[in-house]
Amino acid sequence: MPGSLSTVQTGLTVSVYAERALILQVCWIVDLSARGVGLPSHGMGAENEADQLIDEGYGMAYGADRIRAHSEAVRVADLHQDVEAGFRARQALIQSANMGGDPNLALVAFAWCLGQHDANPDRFSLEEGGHFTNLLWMYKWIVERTSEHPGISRSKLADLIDDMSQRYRDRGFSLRPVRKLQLWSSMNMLDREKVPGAVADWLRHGRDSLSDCMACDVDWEAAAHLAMRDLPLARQAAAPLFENRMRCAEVPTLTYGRFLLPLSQAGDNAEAERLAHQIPRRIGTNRDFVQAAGTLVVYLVEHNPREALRAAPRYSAWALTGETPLRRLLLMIGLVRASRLAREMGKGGDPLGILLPSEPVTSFDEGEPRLYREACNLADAFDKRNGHSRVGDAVRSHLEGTGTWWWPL
Amino acid sequence: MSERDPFKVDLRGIVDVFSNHLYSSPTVFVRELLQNAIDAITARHAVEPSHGGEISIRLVGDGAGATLSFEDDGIGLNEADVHVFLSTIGQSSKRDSSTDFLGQFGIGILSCFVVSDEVTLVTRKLGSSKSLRWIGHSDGTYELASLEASAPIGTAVYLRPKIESAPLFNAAKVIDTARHFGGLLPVRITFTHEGRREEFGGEPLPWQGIDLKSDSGLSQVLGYGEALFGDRMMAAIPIKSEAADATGVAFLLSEPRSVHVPQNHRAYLRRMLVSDSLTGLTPDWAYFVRCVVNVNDLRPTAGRESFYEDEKLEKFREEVGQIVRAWLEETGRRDPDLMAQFIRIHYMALKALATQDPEFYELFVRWLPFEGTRGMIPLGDYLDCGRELHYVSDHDAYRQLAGVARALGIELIDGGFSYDTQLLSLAQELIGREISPLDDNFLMQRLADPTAEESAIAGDFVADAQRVLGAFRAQPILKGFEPVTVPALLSQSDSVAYGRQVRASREVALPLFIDVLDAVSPPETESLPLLVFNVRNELVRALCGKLGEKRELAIQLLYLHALMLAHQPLSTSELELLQKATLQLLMQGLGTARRD
Repeated sequence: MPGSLSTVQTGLTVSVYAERALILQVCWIVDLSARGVGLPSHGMGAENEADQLIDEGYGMAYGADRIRAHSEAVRVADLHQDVEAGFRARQALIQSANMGGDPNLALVAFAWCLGQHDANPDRFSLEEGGHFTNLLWMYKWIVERTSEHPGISRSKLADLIDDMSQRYRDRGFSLRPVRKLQLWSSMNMLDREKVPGAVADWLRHGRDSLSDCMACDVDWEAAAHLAMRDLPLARQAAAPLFENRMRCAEVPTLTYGRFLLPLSQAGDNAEAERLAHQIPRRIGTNRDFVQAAGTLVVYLVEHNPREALRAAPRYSAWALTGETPLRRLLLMIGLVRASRLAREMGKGGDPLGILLPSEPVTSFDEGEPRLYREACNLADAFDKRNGHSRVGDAVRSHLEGTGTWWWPL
Repeated sequence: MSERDPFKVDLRGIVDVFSNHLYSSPTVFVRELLQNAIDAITARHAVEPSHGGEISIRLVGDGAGATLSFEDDGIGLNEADVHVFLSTIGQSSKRDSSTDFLGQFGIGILSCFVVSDEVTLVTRKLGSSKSLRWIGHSDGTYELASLEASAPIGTAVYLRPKIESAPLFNAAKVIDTARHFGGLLPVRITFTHEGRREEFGGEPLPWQGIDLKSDSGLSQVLGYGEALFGDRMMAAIPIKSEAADATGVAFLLSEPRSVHVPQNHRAYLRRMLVSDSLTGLTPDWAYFVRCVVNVNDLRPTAGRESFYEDEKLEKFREEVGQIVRAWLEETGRRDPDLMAQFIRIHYMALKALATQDPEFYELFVRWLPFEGTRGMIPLGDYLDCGRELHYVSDHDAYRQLAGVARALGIELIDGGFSYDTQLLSLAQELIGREISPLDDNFLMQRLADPTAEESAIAGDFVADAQRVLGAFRAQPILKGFEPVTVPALLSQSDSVAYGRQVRASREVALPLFIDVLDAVSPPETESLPLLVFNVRNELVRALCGKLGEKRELAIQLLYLHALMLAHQPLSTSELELLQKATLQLLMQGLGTARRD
């Protein structure tokens, strides 16, 4: 019943008007004379208010503001205990948070939606394009980002992929996206020997309406070749993206980030420079592209020191929060190297930026040891999860500027 | 079969391509003929610098029976020219010197076959006594003959319409089309039809030599822009580009527009209209301007209705961007009223764009108004008042904290409006002044700790509150602050809001996902909301006394009430408590009344 507060145990229902009355009853204990102390705008109705916020968010570019609008829609829907509106708002939030650099928030909203769906399977449409199909689409995003978190064990990830796989199978969808995520996990865990088989398994499955767009598929195929340390094949695979023949919300920005350092170390300076020139504009203020930001900072440290010191503060707030830990690793490496560069240039005291929202501005000199420590700790956590030392080895060599760049490290 | 054969071209097929794919309108034949005429005059001018040149358009009759002619006194063609340039598709006399000529594709004359089955051309080349007549047919054949009578130097083209093109051979249509395409050409053009005679062209560009800093000059150019685009304009910015050898005007629209809808611009190539609905001439962020420009050095597409997306166009776009930026900077310094008006009109779109483009934001960051403790005023005014400046990210927090901020002598901005929190955070970096969020740390540091006397009054209140609120994962703090009428503040940072969402999800999530949530967001790392009690408030002081169960009930209700005032959804356990505590309160109240 929209617009009502229903107590769980007693079954008593308190209407929204009674809720107001309750608030007024307890007003004796607080000051209501302050300007604008407000009550929920029940007049509009939860559905309308939440949907208005959802639409407002959809009109915004991916980033913090869009996430804020959709979080607000969730809050309004929950305030009114409107599960349908809450479902819609969370679906909007999953997309905004996933594409806007806050995958944890996307996960939280997704867990709620899937739980609601399983508890009330008849309440949500099962048709093509309905609530549940959308959830199945979003499940890909959740598994993709979850695999990039060191706290998620191999077995837990396998459980997630099994659950996703079962749901796809039950609805008769192709397992292509599931296999693609297994490939992604292999790449992210630096299980290089598993990548060729995972690519073949992925491409063996046919496409259907839940398959990723062609641009994303091409981007991942290219990433897989980079993970297998084959730059010529990777370039060949990514040609449609470099020639601007395919694109989507994240591609080719992610692709440019993946290729920048391998191209540079292969000596293709012209192409690397072209990508480096385009990456900042493509990233904008969306921390979804934290990895591209990290590769850019590393590249600038090596090729354009002055610009590196300008770019590092632009992205420093993304290093310790938001996105996935694996994606942030690259930026931490970039900022450590930029900080050392700043010290060499006599600018170690210059501001690196605010690393955490509650902290004051940090200088390059202050930031460097902290980011170095964070990067090493994170790398060790990944190695512990992965069961080998490849992430730690790669991160430490990159921190010293002696590593060879492939993907993801 | 090893011999190489030339391609065979079907002229009707080519004309079909022109009609249906290359040109957006059949009227482009007017532009193509004007262009050929201008190029011929330019070529003659190179040989005879004193030659001014003239174009004459004549319409005899009207509609299906009409004959339309375009005559110029340009350099003319000889027999060899005719074979090569008129009768070989793709051949152009102007390709090697494209900076001087408008045409360069060798397909201009063919556009006439879109509207006419037969094109007659009479010409005599400068320095030649031989006059020629060329008749081209739409079936791909042509005839060339020498004329006994001597034609004037130059070229005349005669057209009779196809049946379906008859409406184009109308005096009003011809003169409108000719003015549309050639209105800014440097050569005088005369149109005659049955005693009607009109002249246009040969004038300076409408913005040429006009001082936009003078009121009269600005008013003249604004009037021109408004008539041209049909929009009201608030300012005109002169454009001069080296990359494209261009001049023009960027008009600032005085109505709000969407960032997502690119503006249509009007562009001329060497004073011939290319398009009146061209996009991409300005950077994406300059969505609030419409431009009219005359370029001499950009590469047109084959249909001549837009420009190639190449490095030169990119540089031109950058130059226009720099000019608009410079204007905004200058206006911010010299004409604050105009700048304020500009921001007022384009407020929402400017904010949306500023979050994506900090460099752009920097141009007007001080001028952008924000709602706060001083009302809706520009950020610069907040900064100039010299007081500490903070913001909160939602309206509820603002409502709760504005009074406290005033009492502390600081300025507080309500960042709950679209984009404002991010803009304020960016502003700090751009301006280099501290504009920080008002968060838990602030409350802990800036609200005064209880004095010794107040601590004595409080007694075990905080410990009791800790016990009561622990069940709801909230942290009580005792402070003393103004206004004393406020008994408690609930601090709800973003991380606290996130924690509430995690808990709401845990209540319904599948076991598999509860594990995943715990791994990604461990409960022990969850930020707790602070409930800051005001020891100077009369109610709180009363609660510090010996109240037994009533104190617990009051603390619970204060917490729940703070949550509701913050418009937070209540969890299952909080709803249960609300139910229980309210009923208990009522019972106690009623019980007291009965006893009384």
